[in-house]
Amino acid sequence: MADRLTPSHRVLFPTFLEDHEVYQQAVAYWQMLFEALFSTKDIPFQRYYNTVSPDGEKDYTGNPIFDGYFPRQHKLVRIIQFIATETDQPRFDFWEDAWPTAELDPALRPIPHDPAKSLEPVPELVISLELSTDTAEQARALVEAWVRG
Amino acid sequence: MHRKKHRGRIQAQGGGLEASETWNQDGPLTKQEGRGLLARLKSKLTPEEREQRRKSFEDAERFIDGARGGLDAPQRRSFLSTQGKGLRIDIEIWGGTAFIALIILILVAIWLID
Repeated sequence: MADRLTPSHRVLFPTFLEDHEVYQQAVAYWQMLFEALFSTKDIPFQRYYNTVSPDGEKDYTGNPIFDGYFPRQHKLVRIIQFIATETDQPRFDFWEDAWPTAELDPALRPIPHDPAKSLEPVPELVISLELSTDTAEQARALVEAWVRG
Repeated sequence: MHRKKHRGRIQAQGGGLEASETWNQDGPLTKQEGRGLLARLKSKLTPEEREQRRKSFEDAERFIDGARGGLDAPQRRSFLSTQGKGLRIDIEIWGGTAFIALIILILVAIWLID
């Protein structure tokens, strides 16, 4: 727990799982981070995954807290945010996967700028983190490099 | 295989493992069916692979139980091991609705019959 006390590892939005207002602030944080990285550089992205239940109830689990589909690159980024429950639990993890577009109904498929890719699996970068000033910087660098790469 | 309205997959991934259970059916997947798929997936893993993902399975089951009114596609949730390293359980909803309570399904069926 000591790392929560040092300024460089300060956990951001520590009550986001308990307070819906704080949760929305955390979502806005990711939205602004993505916009700063991409929208200002004319790299469009949009939310893709459904996180609302059929009765309109919003999801407040942080899984995912944010995602973006980049139609020009035909890539997805998914951010999972958590609060660590064990002291030795890794605070930052990531992996690459693919979203099987061809398995989806046409209306649910992401729409790439290049129509030839419309049935191709979408490469996806997934980051799972306890958000802190430290891990936010790791995520920012990773997302930027991956989308541009 | 003929593609039906309600489809998806539950996967155990990371550390070189890729095991999965899929569904492809006319009606929404119930919570009970979802838990059954999760149990079948668990039974495919070695004791070590299961232990590595113990919390992932618990979190995935809690997620299925907690889904209110079901969940509509497209959705993808990952339940990471406390060990990190990408060891996880993924739930993917490709089409239709999943994790609806059985009672809701029965009420909808009665309403449709009436």
